[in-house]
Amino acid sequence: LEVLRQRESKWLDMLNNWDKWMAKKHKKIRLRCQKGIPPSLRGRAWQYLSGSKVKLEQNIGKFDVSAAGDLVARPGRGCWWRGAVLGWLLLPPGLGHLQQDLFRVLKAYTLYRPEEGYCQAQAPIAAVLLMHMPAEQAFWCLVQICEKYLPGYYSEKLEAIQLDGQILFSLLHKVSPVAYKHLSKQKIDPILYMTEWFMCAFSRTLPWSSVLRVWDMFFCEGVKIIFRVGLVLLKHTLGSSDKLKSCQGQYETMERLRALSPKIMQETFLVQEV
Amino acid sequence: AQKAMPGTSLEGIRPAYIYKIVLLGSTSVGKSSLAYRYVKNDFKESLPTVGCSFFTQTLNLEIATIKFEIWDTAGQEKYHSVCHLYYRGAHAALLVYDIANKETLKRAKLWLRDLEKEFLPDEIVIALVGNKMDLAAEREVTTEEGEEFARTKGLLFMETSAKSNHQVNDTFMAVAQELLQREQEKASALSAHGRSTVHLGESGAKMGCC
Repeated sequence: LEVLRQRESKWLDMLNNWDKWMAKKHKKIRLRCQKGIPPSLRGRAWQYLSGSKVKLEQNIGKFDVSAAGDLVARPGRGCWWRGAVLGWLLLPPGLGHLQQDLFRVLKAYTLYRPEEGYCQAQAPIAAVLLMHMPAEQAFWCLVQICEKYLPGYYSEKLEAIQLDGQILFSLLHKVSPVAYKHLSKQKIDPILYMTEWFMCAFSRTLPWSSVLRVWDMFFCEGVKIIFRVGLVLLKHTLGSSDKLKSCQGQYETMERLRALSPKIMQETFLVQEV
Repeated sequence: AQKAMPGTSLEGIRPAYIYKIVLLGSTSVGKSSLAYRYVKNDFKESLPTVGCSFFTQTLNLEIATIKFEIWDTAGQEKYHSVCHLYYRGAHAALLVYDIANKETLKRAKLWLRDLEKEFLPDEIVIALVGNKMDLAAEREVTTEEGEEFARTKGLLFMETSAKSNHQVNDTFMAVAQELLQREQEKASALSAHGRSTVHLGESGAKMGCC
């Protein structure tokens, strides 16, 4: 608790003098993000780190206009917002009230970037944000993630994600030749296992405490954190011949990557490895 | 396929097949729910699938043991460009649409076109599945319409409800039967060409042992 109090005051000092810290002591900020942002200040810190705070200040009122706008109704009942509405199930019990906000944020984004359109993978991202900040703030944070952190991930054809899949795979060659060889041999395209990891920034993969720690680093250092987490998971799941014994077929391997061992997803282990 | 010795423990030996079966269709038509109903015999509202999820189910039939590896894909159009990666090497596909949403049948037809480009007709068993029978009151696609389309394209056809557990098992069973029948046809076609000891599993499905 003592440590937490200390961290909180350090973070408060940083947030109050943000520009100075960013200009002069970026390394220190990075280190503190790696140690984890105190929960009470996390939402604020994410907004500073992502630049969404500035973005909001430049666009005051724009969110309300977007959120109030009408979507052109799509034919049929299976329209996009069903996904958004169902997305709230991700939230821990007692947070059902966020559902309405989630809907507003996602709708606003769809109207803000009509050419891109809504992508279902954005719902869990927005849900995590809403648990840390009000709707308008969450909206601009989502904008930053979609445009600056993971540009192109949610647009048509998923080209950006396919490219990053190839990059992840070539990095794996260096990090864990055994895992690389195994996946090559079984002809498992990265898209088959990394889509959800990357598009949801691990929010649907990792336990909650790990999600938060990964996001702390992600907001500071960007997409490379997502790559590193992916590599750690692959290495510790498929990185030795012993582990591969039970992954003889393509399906078994995929299943293993879908149901990762809780041990390697655990906060302290994962953050240390990353 | 395999001769059993009467009265010995070998009597129960049947060939075993592993089949990859992939679920395709628009978003929110109930692909995940069908898989969940089939494997767990339960229904829950599921989150939209991002990428793919996986289920297995083993069937002990009289003439063979079948293991289904079910690949449940994301339905949103955005994922379309990567979908061939999911259905590559599949032995069967369920093309799922929502009977209360006409648009989803149109999309199922587009999926079929994709499959036809990727596979030869005898390489894959395709079933057209109209899901959400529990919403019959809001029906936009008649049974005849689905049936007729399936017939012209040579697909299996079934209307189901994952929610009320209507014909879900039967759908997968029909696919299993069709797959087995094709194995037998292949085997007899081959043996007709003078190769009498052809093993059933050689043509596509992996052979395992029960």
